[in-house]
Amino acid sequence: MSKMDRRSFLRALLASGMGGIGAPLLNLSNANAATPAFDDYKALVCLYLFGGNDAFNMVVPIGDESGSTAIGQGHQTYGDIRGNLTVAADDLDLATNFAGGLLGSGSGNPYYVDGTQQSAYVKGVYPLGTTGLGFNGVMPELAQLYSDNRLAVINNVGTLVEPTTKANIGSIDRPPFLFAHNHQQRALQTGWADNLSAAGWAGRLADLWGIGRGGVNNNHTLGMNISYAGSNRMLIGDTSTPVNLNAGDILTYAGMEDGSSSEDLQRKALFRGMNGQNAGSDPLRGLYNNMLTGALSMSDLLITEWPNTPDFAGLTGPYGEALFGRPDSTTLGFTANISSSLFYQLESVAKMASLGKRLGLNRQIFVVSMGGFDNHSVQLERHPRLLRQLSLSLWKFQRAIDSLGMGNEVTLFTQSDFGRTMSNNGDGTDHAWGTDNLIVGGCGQQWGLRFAGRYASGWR
Amino acid sequence: MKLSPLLLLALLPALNGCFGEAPPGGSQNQTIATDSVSEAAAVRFLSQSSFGATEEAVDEVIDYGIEGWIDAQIAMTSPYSDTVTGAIATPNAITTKSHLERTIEIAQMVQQDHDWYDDPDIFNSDGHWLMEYYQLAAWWEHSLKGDDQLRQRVAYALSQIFVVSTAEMPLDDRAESLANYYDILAEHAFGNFRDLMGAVSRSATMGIYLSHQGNEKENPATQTRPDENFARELMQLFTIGLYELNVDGTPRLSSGNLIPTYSQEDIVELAKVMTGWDLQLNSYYGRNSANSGDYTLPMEFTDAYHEYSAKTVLGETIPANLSGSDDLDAALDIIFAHANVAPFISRQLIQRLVTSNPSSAYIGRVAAVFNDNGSGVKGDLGAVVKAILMDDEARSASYISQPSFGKPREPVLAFSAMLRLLDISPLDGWSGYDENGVQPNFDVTGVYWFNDTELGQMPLRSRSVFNFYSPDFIPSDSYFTSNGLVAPELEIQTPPNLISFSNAIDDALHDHESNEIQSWTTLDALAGNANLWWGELYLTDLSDELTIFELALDGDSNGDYLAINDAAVDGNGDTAKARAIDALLDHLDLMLLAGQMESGYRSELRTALINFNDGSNNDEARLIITVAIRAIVTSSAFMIQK
Repeated sequence: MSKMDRRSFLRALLASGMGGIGAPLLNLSNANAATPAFDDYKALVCLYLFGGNDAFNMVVPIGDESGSTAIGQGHQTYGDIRGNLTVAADDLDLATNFAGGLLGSGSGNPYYVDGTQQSAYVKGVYPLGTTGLGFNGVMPELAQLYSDNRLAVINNVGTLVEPTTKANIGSIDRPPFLFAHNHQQRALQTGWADNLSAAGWAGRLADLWGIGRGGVNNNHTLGMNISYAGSNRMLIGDTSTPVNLNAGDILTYAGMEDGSSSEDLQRKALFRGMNGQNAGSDPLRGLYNNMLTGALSMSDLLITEWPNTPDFAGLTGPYGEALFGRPDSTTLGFTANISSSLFYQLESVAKMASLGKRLGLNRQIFVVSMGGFDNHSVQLERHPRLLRQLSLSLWKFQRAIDSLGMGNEVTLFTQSDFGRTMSNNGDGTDHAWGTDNLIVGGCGQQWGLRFAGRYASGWR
Repeated sequence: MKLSPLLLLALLPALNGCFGEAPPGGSQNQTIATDSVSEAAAVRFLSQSSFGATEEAVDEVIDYGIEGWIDAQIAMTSPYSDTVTGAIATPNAITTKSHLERTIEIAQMVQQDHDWYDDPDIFNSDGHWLMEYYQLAAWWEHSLKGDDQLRQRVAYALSQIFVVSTAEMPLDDRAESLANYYDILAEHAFGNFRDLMGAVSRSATMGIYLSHQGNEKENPATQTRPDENFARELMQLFTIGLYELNVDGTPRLSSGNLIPTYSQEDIVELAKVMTGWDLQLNSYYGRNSANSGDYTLPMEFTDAYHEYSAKTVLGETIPANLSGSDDLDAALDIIFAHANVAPFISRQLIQRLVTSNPSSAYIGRVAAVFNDNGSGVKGDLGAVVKAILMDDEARSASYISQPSFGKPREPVLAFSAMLRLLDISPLDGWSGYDENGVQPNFDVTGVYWFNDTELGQMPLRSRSVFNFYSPDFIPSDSYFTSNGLVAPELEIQTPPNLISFSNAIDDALHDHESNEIQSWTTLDALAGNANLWWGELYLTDLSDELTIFELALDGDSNGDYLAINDAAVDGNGDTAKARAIDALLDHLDLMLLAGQMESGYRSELRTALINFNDGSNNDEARLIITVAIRAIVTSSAFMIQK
């Protein structure tokens, strides 16, 4: 079982996406390191797939059993183990079916069989050169991004404490609580498989860079780390605080928005006055006061700035829909809709990246998320909709970032709790370890990176 | 009209007679209070043991004493009692009905012509997408208005440990299952934890949520093996947790390392136990669909899909060939016997009710009761709840000033507390629905309709089995990180949620407030235009606050607020308006902050309020009161429960 070391993965990502940080990252606890003086803009976007994505059906093994692909097993064995979850190895012909970055509606989709996502899910793949692998047929956009050198696959990454092989697995330290969602999420967030109580890796980076204390980003209200996916430990530092926002319209305090209404100003002054009271010796109240004050400051900033961010008008998605609009189930050739949540999150990230750059920030790290990947059951009905949403989201986001001329500055990567069992529990899969992740945007383009690591092997 | 506690104090002799005739809490043998409880202490206690203090509840606690009130609540007849031993005392009590019964009634009222029994044996047999809103309305009603406040509050705490959610389809369209599931939690809130484990494991809701419904033994022909989902979370989240604990909740260590409670092998084995269970009346084994099966009955066992081999779980062997139910019980017995259950569950219940960071001694004392209720019984949740609430760490006022004591209120409980103070009631007469749209002939009454998302939290609607927040959430703050302190409820209180929560408070104080509504229309006219597409249909009532304010202002309560702009000052240099604000703040300090308002905070608020003016006397009085309540409820003084 070969897995890429988690910290190497982070290091690779950061060294590429966050150009020039080099050595300090290797020791995030080195508080004496000088705050770097950046003169450019870079952003990382972590797309977290909650629940443990079944990457075996996202990046599908389609080779023969000869071992020529270095996996040593092929589609035949995969199918024997997966049973009714088996994705066929048939080539759905990306070049013809996604010409010009456009898809046909309904039966015009290359993965269409009978109007159900269950059939679409297993119809076929877009082969990735001679790798013996292919992207699931419901992910044409992903395949196109790969073909365009804008997307790389990191094969079979999982949490590790130390170099681990099949031979030494009984004697080395393994990450605690493998297969437990929350602890594996935490391990990915801390970037430290056997220290689940540490602050998040991006939070520690923000600490080190003096976010909130006059360092990188010039003490801006926006800080450095922003989540559109709720509180996320990856972004939480020991001394720095991330910003948590909702996708979409900016929320404002009712009755406090109007800068020319004396009553609104009175309410706002009272709000600030109350938050300044009595933090005294009570840490919970002091923290809560800071949260309230921060929420108002953020709201004030965004009331002014958000209307001036790009609206991506005129740009369209693969079906000709508004760029961040949601194609309906009929268009997709499915029986059920996909969620639009990630579209909106990524739209907000694109707007916020543009705003951050305009306001003179140098580094931003974002977290967005999708849920629903823990498919112990009903996988045939649900997983295709998730993969479809994921593929469309990445395409839409990359279009938006390119339209801003920020294609070299923003890099998105995926993470997920863990991979899933190759075996099938009847109508779903269970928790496992390594999984495949994706890198989209600046990093892949600059490096021409296509694959890192090796696809999982030894399926049984 | 309810009375303020200050007025009540003066009238106490007269009122005692009334309460003597109708003892609150439903006990037939009224316990005479032996411990004297101040009003402030009663409010503080109710923040830990109810959905919020009301003046009636404060009086109950004072009458009964803390222990007497807990005992009365535990003894109170519930919809789950085997035999009804006495009527519930308070008029119009709704606690004679279960969540499921109310959910069904509400569905039948809002959609009067819908065929809820298309299959005569199964309620909602086709599934309906509005179902989750009916369940939620029943939940608000029980939580806001139930006399069995302690039972409902403990059920809510349990719902954050034994998590299920509408996020898992079809529990949204079949949300009668959630009502039924909540009934299981409420029924066992003072029962035995082992019985709760059994009922949850067999419930259709949990079966769907964690996918052991329809689970099958290993099948070589299809290359399938049992689903591990429920087996894992049952141990990780519902009973023993991931690593071994001492009875006081501190981790046991081996060479400095945590000791895992179970291995992957235990999961695989336990998953085999969880095979053969499916919804009753399902059209075929394992079907997972909104229009098949009964979601309100326990799952039934089907022989053919069960793995009958012997299993080894946590080092104990379950013999081969037990019946499905015996197999399950044997596994649950093994888990229940684990030493972790008491500290693991005790800590979380303390966190949900009293304080985020209980001392290990506090956890230890409660866990000891969990392990032995004094009669040698393990798992007596009534005894555990009482031990949590009666503990010195919960009761002694000396803890109020301790830095690590207390807990953030979560949005749902903060909102409910304010609504209960403001005498929330249904807006009666809004229009129901049929398949063609709004149906004005369907008058809906007595329904607490609130399904807006602006709280950022709704019961039984967390995103995952890990609840709305983690019991181990450490906020981004150096004091918390350096001291290893947690603040679970803050995990969901992001800036947008703080803002939308504040706006929900504002809505409740204006758009839903009876006096304000009646300044521009009538309640009947409003209800006549309202229908179920409005996400929130309820009324609040500031009449008490207006009365307190006006009595201090001009000595009457006729609604003219005559002296509100009088410049004349008294011997202290206070205008009538300032004196009215003082009376208002006394009331709000007691009822919202349990008398903990500091002088600096009070003077900041008082000074600001004096400077609020509005067109009419009436508008100005309401403005001042609403500004004050919103400022207090959204401030750390209220949102941090000490």
